[in-house]
Amino acid sequence: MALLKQLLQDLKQRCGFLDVTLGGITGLRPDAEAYRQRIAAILHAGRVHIERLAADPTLGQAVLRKNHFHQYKRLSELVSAAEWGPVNALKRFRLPDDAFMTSIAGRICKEIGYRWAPPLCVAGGLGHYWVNAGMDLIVTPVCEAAHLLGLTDLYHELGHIVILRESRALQLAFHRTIDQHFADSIRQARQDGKGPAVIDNLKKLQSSWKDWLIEFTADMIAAYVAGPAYGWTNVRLCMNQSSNAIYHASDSHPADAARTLGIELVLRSLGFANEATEIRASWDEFVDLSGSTTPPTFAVEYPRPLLDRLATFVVAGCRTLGLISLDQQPTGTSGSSIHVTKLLHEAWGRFQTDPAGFGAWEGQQVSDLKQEFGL
Amino acid sequence: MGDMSSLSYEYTVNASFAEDVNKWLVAVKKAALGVELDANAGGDPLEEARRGLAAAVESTLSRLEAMEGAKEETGGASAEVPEDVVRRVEAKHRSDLAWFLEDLRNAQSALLRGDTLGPRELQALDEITDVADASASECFRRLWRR
Repeated sequence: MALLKQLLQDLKQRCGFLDVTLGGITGLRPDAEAYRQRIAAILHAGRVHIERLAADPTLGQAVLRKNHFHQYKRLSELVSAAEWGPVNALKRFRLPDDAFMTSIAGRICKEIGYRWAPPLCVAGGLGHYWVNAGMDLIVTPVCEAAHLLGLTDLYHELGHIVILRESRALQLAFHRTIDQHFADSIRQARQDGKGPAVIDNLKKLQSSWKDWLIEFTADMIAAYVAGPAYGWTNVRLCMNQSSNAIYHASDSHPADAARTLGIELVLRSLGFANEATEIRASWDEFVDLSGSTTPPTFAVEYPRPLLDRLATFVVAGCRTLGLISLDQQPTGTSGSSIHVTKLLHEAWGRFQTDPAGFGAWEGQQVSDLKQEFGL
Repeated sequence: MGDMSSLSYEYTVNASFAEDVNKWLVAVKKAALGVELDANAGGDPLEEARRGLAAAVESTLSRLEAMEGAKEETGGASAEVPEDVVRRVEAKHRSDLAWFLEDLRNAQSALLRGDTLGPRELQALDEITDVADASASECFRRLWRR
């Protein structure tokens, strides 16, 4: 109890320090200032909770000891996550690349019908794109503000935030389909006299699919709103970071080949059949270069009917949420001359027709975008 | 696309569940101790806690019963239980799952009726909050202490 009381005091001081730090960050652009205020409000609420817990008369009650400890841990995690993510990002936000990336993300949000407050987006990553969905923060690779071909990964990260906000509609509702699919597969396997190892594997796949669903869904949302450019970006990323992940999954990520198929299914359902066929041809070329071959278990791990149903489900979910697919996005709705999503689509076309000349064109587009955003 | 995005999603979902069930159990325990609860804008805080906890237990039961093969999962559960929480409870109670499910059912009934929870029911609810905390904590650690 003494330790908990002491550490609550420490937490309160850390939270207060972050409050002062955030208060000292002034002169931000309106989009970043709105984000600063959102994070300040979250930290203020956290501080109120910390003070309430520190003053709780039941802090020493044996029956509540562990519950209070759990509460402390969530508050501690909140303070740490705010410090390492949003406060860190806002402290460095004066860098022009961060303002550019946040402006790009904000513009994209308008174009695709994203209904929530746009996230802060900073070019401060030591690795690939990632999002802290709970804190509305996207981090991109450090040089991404100078290039266009990788930017569609922003739509995938925005997809993660959409999934978090709408997890019941975009995740839980599909769990029943997964359960049904694998229940049928298990029944069939038993009828066919398959052994316990096969049944156990199907049960594991049923569970894995619920983990993989997040990445599949984020990919499909990105394909829905960004169109073929996301398919091309996916091939480029897999080519640049190829590993045995082409056909093998991790705990959180399905195999790249399955993700690519998921993206393709969405593109075809939106009428981008020609582009989907071209992307498929490039993917096959990449797989051939890598020397990989499709393992015989692939069709069991990633059943086509289940992927088909997921693509239909995600497209319907996007429409219900008011997200706008690339082909339906009107130019000029954001009151600006540059439509970022369509620019990224165009960028991939330009790159493919003139790879050598693309760099100069890309540099001009980035320069125009900066001017558009007043940077 | 990175693992960080998946992990941060997983953490947010798991931490939110852990926070909610813990908050509701604290309210139920405090009421049993005769401690006055903080009033909230939504109405009776004890009633809200009982309903919230009962819904979380119902969803957990539904998932565990489906795993046990006793019933087909209906998909109509009223609360979201993280996948990892269900797996951890199932792993912990592999040898006595039927007994644990019975304790959870009794806890859910007592919560819905407004009855006092017995030691076994309280223990079952404590286990859910313990597992939810462990799940959120491990996620956070993987997210930031790699």
